[in-house]
Amino acid sequence: MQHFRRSLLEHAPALRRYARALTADAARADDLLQDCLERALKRAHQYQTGTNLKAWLFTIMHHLFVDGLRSAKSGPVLVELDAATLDLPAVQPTDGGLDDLGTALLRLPAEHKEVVLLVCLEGWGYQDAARILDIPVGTVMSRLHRARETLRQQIFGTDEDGGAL
Amino acid sequence: MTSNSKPITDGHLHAYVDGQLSAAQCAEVEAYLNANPHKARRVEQYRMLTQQLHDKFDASMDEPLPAAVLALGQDQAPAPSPTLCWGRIAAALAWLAVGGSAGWMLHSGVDRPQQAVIASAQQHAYDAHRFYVREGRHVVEVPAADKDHLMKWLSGRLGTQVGPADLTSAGYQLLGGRLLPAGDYASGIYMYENAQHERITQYISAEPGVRGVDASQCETRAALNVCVWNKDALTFVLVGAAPLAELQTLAQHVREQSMRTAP
Repeated sequence: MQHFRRSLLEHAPALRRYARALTADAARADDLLQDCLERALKRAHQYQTGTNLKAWLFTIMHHLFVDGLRSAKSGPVLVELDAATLDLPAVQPTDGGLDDLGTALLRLPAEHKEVVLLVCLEGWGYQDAARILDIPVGTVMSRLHRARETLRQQIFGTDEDGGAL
Repeated sequence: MTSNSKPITDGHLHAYVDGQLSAAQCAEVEAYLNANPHKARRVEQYRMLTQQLHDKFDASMDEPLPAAVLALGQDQAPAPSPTLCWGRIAAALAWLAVGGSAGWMLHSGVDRPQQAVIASAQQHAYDAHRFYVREGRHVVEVPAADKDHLMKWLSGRLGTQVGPADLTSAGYQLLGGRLLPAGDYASGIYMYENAQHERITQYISAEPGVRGVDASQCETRAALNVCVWNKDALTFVLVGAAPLAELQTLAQHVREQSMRTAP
């Protein structure tokens, strides 16, 4: 159990980075991190021997993040793809300025943001991301393509072929 | 659209940026990008986007963790465990061994629940190993070829996820496993074999009541060696004819794999 506790801390920096990017709020991110590790300790008996602890922790964080969105109604949870065209959600970043990337991330539907952050920021493969989010790998790819193209257009502008690859 | 024989889709371009392609696929995509500069520009922007994400968020990894989070990772004294008294068990076992008794039943003052649970787990593991180890074709109920099913089945009956260990680095391959009764509770074994056809049995009992046996405790019993420890609600016993030091190392492998993340 003590080894397990120490292993949790080894993954805390990556979990915190993911939480920070998800929430755009340092305090909320740290709450998410703490909730995640507490839940992991409480459910240590459910952790399957020999499997990827880091992926298990990211799965827990994903569930907490989605639960938090649902209870706080602070952002779109299960919205359609055109949510990217909605007005900026009410949540504003409290750390750092609202740069292009920060604004673009805030506009992304939560389930698209999760995929793009898991793959592009946290470096998970498509299969791992699918496992963490409990969605088919095809869904990971389609969300990733949409999310990344949306971010690209908001940051770099549309180009001659209008974003249709 | 391209002179390549295989069409390159947007999925290929994303997978290229994410390092999800084989070397051969990468070469195809690169040839396509050379012939399609506006696609190459877009791929470059995807890459810059990834870089911007890192530029924006990587610094958070270097910040000191909040005290409340650090506290969660601190070593803590084992949960209060008034029934733990391994020293007395070991002494009793030594006494039994010296006395040449064939039994594993503990008595003479060691009658607390935890000790009884440990003793019966050892007994069951010892018996199961001796009983099944000589079997040829039917040594296991579910062979290693059905490992996923076996793991799911035993985990279901034990009430918690528990899989076999990977002991290939120590020269042992999984043969398979069995479900066994343990009084009112379920137990199971995973059996492993090395190149010399020497077998070891990993026994797992779901009978509650054992806590805080964090390091494996190993003893010699007749021609067999036996190591026992617990993790959360499960009690583990490793049994085999391997030398005590070797079995102790194997027990450590099994125990650490249950604690550690896979690479």
